[in-house]
Amino acid sequence: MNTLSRASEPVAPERAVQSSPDSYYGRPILKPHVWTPFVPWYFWIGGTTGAACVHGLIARIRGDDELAEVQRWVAFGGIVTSPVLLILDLGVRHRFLNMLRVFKPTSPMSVGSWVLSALGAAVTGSLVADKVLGAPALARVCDVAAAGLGPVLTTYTAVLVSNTATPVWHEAHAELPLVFASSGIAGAGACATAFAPAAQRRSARRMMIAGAIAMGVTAREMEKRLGVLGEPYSRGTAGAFKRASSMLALSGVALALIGRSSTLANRVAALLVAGAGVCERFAVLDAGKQSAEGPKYVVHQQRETLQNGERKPLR
Amino acid sequence: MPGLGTSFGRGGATTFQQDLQNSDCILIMGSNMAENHPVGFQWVMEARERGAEIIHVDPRFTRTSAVSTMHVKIRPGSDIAFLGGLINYILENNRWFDEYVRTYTNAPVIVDARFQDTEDLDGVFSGFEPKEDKYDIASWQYDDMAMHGSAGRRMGSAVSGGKQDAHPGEVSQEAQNQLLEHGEPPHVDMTLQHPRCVFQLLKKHYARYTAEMVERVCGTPRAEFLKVADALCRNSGRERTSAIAYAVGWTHHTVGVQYIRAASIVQLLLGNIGRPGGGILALRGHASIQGSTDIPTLYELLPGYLAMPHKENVDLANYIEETTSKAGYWYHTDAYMISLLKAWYGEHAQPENDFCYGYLPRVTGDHSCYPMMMGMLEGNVKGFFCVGENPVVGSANGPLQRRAMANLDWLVVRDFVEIESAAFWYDSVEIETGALQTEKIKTEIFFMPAADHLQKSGSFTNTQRLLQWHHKAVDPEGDCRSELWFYYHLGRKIREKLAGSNDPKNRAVTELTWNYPTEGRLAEPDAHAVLREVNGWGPDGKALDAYTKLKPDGSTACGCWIYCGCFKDEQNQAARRKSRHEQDWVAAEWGWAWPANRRILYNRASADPAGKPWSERKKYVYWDEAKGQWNGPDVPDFEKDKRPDYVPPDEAVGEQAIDGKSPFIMQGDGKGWLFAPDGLVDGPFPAHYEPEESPVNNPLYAQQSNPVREQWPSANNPMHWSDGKPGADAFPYVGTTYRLTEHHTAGGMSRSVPHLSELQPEMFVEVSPALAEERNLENGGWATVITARSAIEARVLVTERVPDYVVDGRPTKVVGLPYHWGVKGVVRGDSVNDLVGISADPNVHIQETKAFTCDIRAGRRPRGPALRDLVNDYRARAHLPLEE
Amino acid sequence: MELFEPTAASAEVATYGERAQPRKGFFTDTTLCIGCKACEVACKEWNQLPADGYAFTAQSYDNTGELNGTTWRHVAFVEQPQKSRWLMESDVCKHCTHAACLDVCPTGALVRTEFGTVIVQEDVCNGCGYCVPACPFGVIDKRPEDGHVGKCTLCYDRLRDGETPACAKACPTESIQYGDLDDLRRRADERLEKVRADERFTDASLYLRGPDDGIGGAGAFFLLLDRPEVYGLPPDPVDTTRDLGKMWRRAAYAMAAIVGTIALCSVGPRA
Repeated sequence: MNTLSRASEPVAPERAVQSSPDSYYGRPILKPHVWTPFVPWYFWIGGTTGAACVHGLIARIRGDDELAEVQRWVAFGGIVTSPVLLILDLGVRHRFLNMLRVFKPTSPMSVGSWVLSALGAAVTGSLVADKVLGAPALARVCDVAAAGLGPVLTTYTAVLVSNTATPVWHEAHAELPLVFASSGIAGAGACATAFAPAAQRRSARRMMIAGAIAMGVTAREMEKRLGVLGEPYSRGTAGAFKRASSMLALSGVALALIGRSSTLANRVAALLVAGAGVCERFAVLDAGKQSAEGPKYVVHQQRETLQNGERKPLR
Repeated sequence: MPGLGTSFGRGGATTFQQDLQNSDCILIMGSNMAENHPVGFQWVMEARERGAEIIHVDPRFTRTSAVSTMHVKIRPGSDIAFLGGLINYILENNRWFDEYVRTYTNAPVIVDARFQDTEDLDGVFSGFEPKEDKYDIASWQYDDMAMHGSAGRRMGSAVSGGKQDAHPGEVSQEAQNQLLEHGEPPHVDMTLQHPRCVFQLLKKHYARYTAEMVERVCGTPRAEFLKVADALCRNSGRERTSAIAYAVGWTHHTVGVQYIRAASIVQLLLGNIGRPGGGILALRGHASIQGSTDIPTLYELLPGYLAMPHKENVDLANYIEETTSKAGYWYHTDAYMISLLKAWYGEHAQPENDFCYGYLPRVTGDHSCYPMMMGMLEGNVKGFFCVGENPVVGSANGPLQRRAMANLDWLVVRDFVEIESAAFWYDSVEIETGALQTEKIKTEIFFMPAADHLQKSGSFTNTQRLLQWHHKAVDPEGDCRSELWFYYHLGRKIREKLAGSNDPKNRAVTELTWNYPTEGRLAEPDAHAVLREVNGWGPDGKALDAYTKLKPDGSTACGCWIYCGCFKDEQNQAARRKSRHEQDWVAAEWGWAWPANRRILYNRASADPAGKPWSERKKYVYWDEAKGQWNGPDVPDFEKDKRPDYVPPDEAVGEQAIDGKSPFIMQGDGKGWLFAPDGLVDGPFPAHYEPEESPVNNPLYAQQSNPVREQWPSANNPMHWSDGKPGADAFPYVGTTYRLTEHHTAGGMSRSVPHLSELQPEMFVEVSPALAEERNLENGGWATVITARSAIEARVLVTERVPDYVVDGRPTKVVGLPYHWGVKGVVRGDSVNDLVGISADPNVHIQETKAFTCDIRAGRRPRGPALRDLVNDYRARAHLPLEE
Repeated sequence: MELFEPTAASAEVATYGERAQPRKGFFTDTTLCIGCKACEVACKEWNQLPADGYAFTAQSYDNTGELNGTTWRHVAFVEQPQKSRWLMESDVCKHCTHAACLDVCPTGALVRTEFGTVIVQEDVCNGCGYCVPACPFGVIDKRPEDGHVGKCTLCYDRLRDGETPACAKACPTESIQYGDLDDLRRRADERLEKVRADERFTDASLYLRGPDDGIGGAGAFFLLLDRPEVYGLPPDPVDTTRDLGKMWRRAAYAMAAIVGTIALCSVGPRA
């Protein structure tokens, strides 16, 4: 990775080698994240899974059993896929179990690993209790546990990326959980909209539409507050994903509203909204990369902090 | 004979690196010490931290400049003008150290009335013979002293064989003072007023080297020059001392020796030689370059700077007579020479057979490096051992080097990896252009892998004459063998083949003592045994402890008289490793320095004529009346009990003939030489001459370049015309070459190492923003640098660290070229030496690589025959013969 | 639970009990650096790190560019012709008092040693890569050859044998000084005073001497002659774990919002 980045570093044609007052030859101060595309996919799937668990329990309580079953399978799909994606991203894959070697409260990834594992146990437990053991009470206990852990799974990834030096992530730590939460709601809503019977898909449609709109609003709010730091969201790959996400969300919501009773329209809308969520996650990851690679973002933000007297200047 | 030797008596650095910490001002010039001697540079940093001024005078702003207190720019090849300016400043402003100059130098001596200066003859000294391009030095002598011996032939004029790292300054003085009968020369004027005394001649010679002239010649702003001059003077005298450090930036010129002479004059005038924090530090380019001249790889020297016999020296008596000085330690040349012959021929060396003197080869001409290559080119030299060097990268005019080696019958290359000199027959620019064809090269090449320093025991003699032993850590791998192994077993096999031969010519080999014990699986000769032979032994077979014990009667043997004492008490003194934290700062118990473990040479001069320290602050070696001897932290460079008021009787010879207040005990008169009546072939005073290839006419004299420089003009070695001649404008820029910290010389030891290669991966060229603009060069892009020899390509580094100059009113720009790359190794690139032509200093035959002219253009160079076309195009424009 | 102890390093070292050592570190004095890169080479030799490639950068004499998983010492070259300066600085892992890499490592591969330094246990690290963006200095990085992360260990193996780290040992001018952090800080204070007395260097500062900055001070700190960003260093590095409580709080709101939103969406009579 480093080798490649070093070797392929294009030499900017310039008049003469000279220092600049705010960077070292424009080189990154920080290292960009090294995660592969498995990770944004996991972010979306995990987020959707978490929200699906909540939705599943509420549906179960309301007696919308078919809806609850759909969300159960969505969640099961999620908790099966997620570890695979995470393991594929590891540098030393056979050491995936080391994730559970310790429990470390200071590491959102450690917390997340335990939450994912516990949620996996809960979702699987519920399935097994219902389908194999025929123990519905146990299944409900598992459902409650899953619904409790679900929102953590949906949002911890926001904490995870916020808890880095990457300016566009860390400085967005107030909004990013809401963006991820909205996207999770929209994702779970979209899945259920696609697969639940028409009679039980009202709440799912609402979640899909509300989530998609909330995602757009919170993300916009986040970018606005980031100011200069939010620049990457309008540039390069992140910008492209961002635009795709907005268009998909808008068209998905519009289609859902127009074709509200058409199953086909709803399914297409669900696909569009799901895509919007995925694109949003990709946008976040790439914005992080750009943000870390641009020394100006790092220096800008940190100089501002120093100037505002929020931290004592260096000796 | 070289700069330091003629000035002070010995060709080694007068001081040691640790002593730099005591300096109040250090002038680094002709050296990029921080980059090329980073470990020793810690003492410069130490001095800086103690408040010393560190002045770096250099064509570029380098890593040395970055940590100096002052960087002053100077056009490559103009240092004598700068140093001459300093001499003039000192003399005009009465800043010389009067008592030191009067007593310790030859300033008061009256010179022969026939002597005429460059001032009188517009750039040449008296005695110049234009037809032969050489000087008759008879008129340079002290007044009333007949020239002894033949003026034309120079006994043992030390030759550094064109080694990239050899220094003209490093070869000692031998037998130069045979004219001086004893003690003080005959005529002196202690008032320094006599118009023909050295002091007045010096004044006259440098009168025109004003600050304005320095600015005109060197492109150094006048104010900056004056700051340097003032700093040096302010920091010299009784209470303060200044040091000068130089390296090959001074020696790779057609007037290299005179650069060092000029610095010697500055330091003598300021009273900085032989004193703590003073001196001239000659920085070597290799771990053991000093060692390789002490026990030389040079054709004109024997160990310990004894002259190699010339063909006229028919017998030992004649040799001794011609090489012995009446006064000083060279009076004992017979003891040194006979002890050497005893070490080599043992019991075979007897008085009745001249101690086998007849077996020694004789010098019949110039067999230094470049004439040797010319000999190959002409087909006269058939075989070649190429050891510890890489001529096709490291020697000037790479194309010529390769053509020469392609003309050999056989070639032995010993190195760690297949270097360019072993691969030129299939991988070189000439193969690419078609100038050489592999199938037509008849040279049989033997590549012999060498052991590295961790795989063998032995000593290095470093820049400050310090022998340091390294112990073998592991056996060499595979077929790798040490040099010692190679030569010992080569000799053994030759002797086996000659055993039983009655041919007298073989006795030189068959009668050699060749009985070194071997050890281990590889039969590695015992390096200690070799060092012990170098040290020598007395009649009792015990190791000698000082060269003063050597006898001319054959009772002692010694492989190198100046190293005598390095095996004192049967102990390897070079292997001593007592930490500097456990002894005083001189650290006399770390390693062993020649001569006699002295660290500062001529240290008698650290005391005043009466033997008292010049000042408490600069106290070093001084006369202790109570004990009746010289005392101090160092070994006194004087007979320990010779009183300061000692006056030699008329009949005295040898060291007895040197009085008690003459610190330069190797000189016949015991004095530091401001004026060199003997020992140099190109003038008793340094004069500024332009490099062979220069963008300007010499602003000082009608004489453009050193009139007696060595030249080998031919179609294989075309040299550019200088300013004013037709075609000179084809090469408008000044090229200069240098090294980088990250690489080692021709790259065999560094471009093969990934960890070093990644630090400086590509050949590059440093240019100023103005030159980049002029030639449309982009930082990070490619450029082609062209001379009449060849064209090379390099990546471009546009940096303001390379200044632009105005020389004699004309804007002059510099092209900076690191020298390290070749076609082999982990990282590869074109070789700078392909650009450089061969012309050399007449004293030591060292080539001029630090200043030449060239052109530069954007983009990569053409490949194949198109490269030849490009060079020929330039040759045509430059009015030079075309390459076939 | 207190996630961010005020004296992270010493508290962690204290867990070693009797094996705990005085905290060790580097004081890198850039005024003494001659840019020889001996530290880079000594580091790679000792730690058996590979070369990273052979590309000319045209960025002064710096062709290795950065610290990464296989380059643990890196010398920066800053050309400032306007000031007639060429600054050189040997960069290294800071061994922060609050080490973000250590805080976020989910496997416990990154640990605080008995010397107060931070090291990667290469046989534990599974290459999750979290520490890479977490490091406020861009020091630690994933190694393409073996997938786990790498960074300076302050030559932990040498320290355990009472030896000086390879880079400090190789530094010819004592620009890299190794020792007990308390001593180094004292020395650095004296040094700064001396350097600032020179009118050319009134801007000199000690970078990361701590403990007032966002990482609580570093085990490896620097005397700089210009602003940190000129050398490619962050002016105000922060171990973001400091804000972790705040982040989880925001996440908790979001979790509540999830439950609330889904519940709201589910309101209404069954079809």
